[in-house]
Amino acid sequence: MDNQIPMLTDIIETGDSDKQGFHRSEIKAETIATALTDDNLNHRIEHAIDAALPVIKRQLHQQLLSALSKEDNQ
Amino acid sequence: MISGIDNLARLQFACKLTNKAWSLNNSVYLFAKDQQQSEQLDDMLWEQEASGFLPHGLKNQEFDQQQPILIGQDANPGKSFDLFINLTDNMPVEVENNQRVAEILHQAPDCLTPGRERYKHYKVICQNNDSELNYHELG
Repeated sequence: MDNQIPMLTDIIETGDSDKQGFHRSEIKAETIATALTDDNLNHRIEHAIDAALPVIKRQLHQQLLSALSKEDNQ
Repeated sequence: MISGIDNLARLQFACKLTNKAWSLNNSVYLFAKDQQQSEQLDDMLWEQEASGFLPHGLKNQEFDQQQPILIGQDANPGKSFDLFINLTDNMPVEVENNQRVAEILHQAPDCLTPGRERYKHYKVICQNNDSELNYHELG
């Protein structure tokens, strides 16, 4: 199941003009489509996003305060 | 006053109140009873609705003076806030420096009894300052 999770590289590869690359992209696009219709996988992705968001928010806030502090000191 | 005797419900309501206050651009101080409660509130505020963002931090950590929403265990946060939320059994110090003070109590005697004592103090403070004292029963 894990190998069906769409990766950012899969999406980037859809722009590949090489014939072999196109073929590879088609397969991966199909994988993504399958993954997105899988309720169980969708649930896992949502769960992963829910878990990641608080961490991202905390880090962004710290970075923002740090940047503002540097601006104030300049 | 919230129903039940659930300490977690008390914290969850504090987070909702913080969310509401922040949406009105109000600064908030959450007076926590100990470090564990401070950290629990910190996590809960970051876990509020996915699209929301409540900029906050813990007192005595880096940039604490810049935090619009601050969590701490000091009865006197050292500066005034638009909203001071008391989650301890203690009376805040120089509470009149803040625009508003909120006490969130549930029905358990260990929460209710000291809360009633503080109510008496607030009543005196409000009489002296010509301020309003409100009481809300929440489901």
